[in-house]
Amino acid sequence: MEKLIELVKNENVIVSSKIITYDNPDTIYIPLKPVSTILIKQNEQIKIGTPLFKTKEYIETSPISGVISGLKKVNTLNGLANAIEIHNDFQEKKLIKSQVKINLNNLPQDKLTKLIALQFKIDITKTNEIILNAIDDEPYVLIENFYLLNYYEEFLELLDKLAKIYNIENITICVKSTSGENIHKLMECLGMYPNIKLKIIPNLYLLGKESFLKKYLNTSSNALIIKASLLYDMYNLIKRNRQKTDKLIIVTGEALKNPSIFKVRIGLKLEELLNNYLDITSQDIVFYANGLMTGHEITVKDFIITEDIDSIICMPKKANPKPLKCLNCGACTSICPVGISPILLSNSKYYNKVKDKCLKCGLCSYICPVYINFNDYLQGGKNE
Amino acid sequence: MNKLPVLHYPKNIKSLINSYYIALIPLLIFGFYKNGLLLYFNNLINFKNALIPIYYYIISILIGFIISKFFKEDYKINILISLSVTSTISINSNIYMYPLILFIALFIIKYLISKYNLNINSESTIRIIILLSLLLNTYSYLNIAEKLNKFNYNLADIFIGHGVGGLANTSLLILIISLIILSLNKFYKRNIAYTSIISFIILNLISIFLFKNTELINIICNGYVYFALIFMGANLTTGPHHEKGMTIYGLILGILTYIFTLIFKYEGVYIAILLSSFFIPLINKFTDRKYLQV
Repeated sequence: MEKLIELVKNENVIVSSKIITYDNPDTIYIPLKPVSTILIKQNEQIKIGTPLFKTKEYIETSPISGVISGLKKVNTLNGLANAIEIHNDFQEKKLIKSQVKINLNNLPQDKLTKLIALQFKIDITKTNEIILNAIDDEPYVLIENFYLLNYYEEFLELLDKLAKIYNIENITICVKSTSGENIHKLMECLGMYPNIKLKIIPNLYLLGKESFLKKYLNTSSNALIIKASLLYDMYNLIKRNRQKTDKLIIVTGEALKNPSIFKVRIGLKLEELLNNYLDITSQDIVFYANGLMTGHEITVKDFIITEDIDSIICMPKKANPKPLKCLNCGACTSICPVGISPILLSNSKYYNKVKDKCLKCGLCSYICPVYINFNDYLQGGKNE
Repeated sequence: MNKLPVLHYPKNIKSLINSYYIALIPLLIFGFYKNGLLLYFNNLINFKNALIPIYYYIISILIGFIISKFFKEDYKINILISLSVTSTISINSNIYMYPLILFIALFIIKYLISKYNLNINSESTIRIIILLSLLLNTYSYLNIAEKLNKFNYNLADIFIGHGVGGLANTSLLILIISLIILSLNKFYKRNIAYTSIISFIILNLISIFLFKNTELINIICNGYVYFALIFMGANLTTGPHHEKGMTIYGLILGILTYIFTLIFKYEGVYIAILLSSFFIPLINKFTDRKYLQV
């Protein structure tokens, strides 16, 4: 644990706590996954929850009701992709599924177990401890924190019910020491839930990762760690019979006058959000999705907010410092949380050995005094 | 396209170079006092000769700057190398020959390192080239006061910096402060400095205990060996790339310094640093084994 460090943040980047709801776009786009079978036709009228396409692993459903207008090339986190274009009819019609009609106050255990396993791939019967993880690792990406801040009452209610149904003795809510507002609110409420504990976690990078959090908390291997965003989806499905149609995203950055948190419909075009709500201060800017440490630089044109997008950070374009010759200072090896020696990545034998072990957390490049970007080695097996 | 991570630790190579300068400047000032002002105020030299240390400092800065322009490198690094080397030379060095030899030595080393990507210690190599060249003349580390035995210094005075040595490398007191300043920087190879210094002191203490060689106490209290270990042994670029390797390297350096100091006294530590740097590939191979095992 001593290897984890606190990242030094750029103080010009501000994170707003104001949530703006923008969940009625005219059109949304659902990018297809590789090797997927389309289940709808052009001009077909669909409802929320209508299956759109399927892969071997899962079925993608529609987050809005409307009309299918065809396929369109869009930008995603994984590059260019074909997406199903859906025009919103604003009627919010739902495809009702009988098996998800469950009353939280009278939950049949077997049905609930099946539902959670099916929808969230979680076997809740095997656990004796639930840990609610509201920790965000990436600086400026406070999504888990905001899910907890906005839905803490719902979370406490659901966690309490789950504890009673499955006889779970330990329930812990983990929040970062920097989340003052969350700590304050939970302290006020936890008196009503004596079985739920609050654990304040130091502001160290990577403690939000399950393996590091488990090690830090010294919990048993069968403890179930649930992210706050996932618990929100669980609550919506179990209590409100609602499928995941929207999500919170943070839009911030040095080049933005009015950083905000948005509750958006999945499949929204980023350009639409930028044009309607955001005020950009300069022309020469770069957009990053999902953080400045582990995220990606993105092309805004036709970029779609998919389920895996948590944040968009807008920064002024700066030339990267030119990497210099390695100083042999050993800082990259000392800081690596999984014990990799980044300096040896140019060795192909070593690269093959560690490429799957590497967390791609960016700490080695973050610390390097001569700005060597070790991502180059990991992405392309650069050999210099 | 920008490559992530965009965030970076607030300190970088510049902060390390600055730390070296902050650590070096008090030593340079003390060198000017010891080999210039003190002698002048005791009427041992005239004012012009009192400025010789300053002349050497300015010449070193100029040479470092010219070399940087030629090789299109950061001038701060080459000035640092140049000043570190100058801090170790005798006050009796030839004022005309020295700039020329420093320039040629620095040029050759920079050329070899850039052309053949060598991992050798620049400062110690330059220092040895300079020594070999200056040996052609009469070469002594004693300043005029030391030659005349003008002051009767005790161990505490030697600790403060009044012992025999180079231009600006004798003060152990200032060197302790310098080591603290450098150790505060995350990128300073403190393992090399600590291990080499500790092993050097232990070996000398053992010798004092076993052979009753009390002269070694003067060596332990004088700063010139530590200066080389702190500024040249643990320099900017040379060294093994893992912490464990740095400790092994420091240990080898400490042992070799002890041996060569007994043989060559003032020059022994530079020979030890140069020889130790030849062990670096071997040490890296040894420490890399842990990582490369499949």
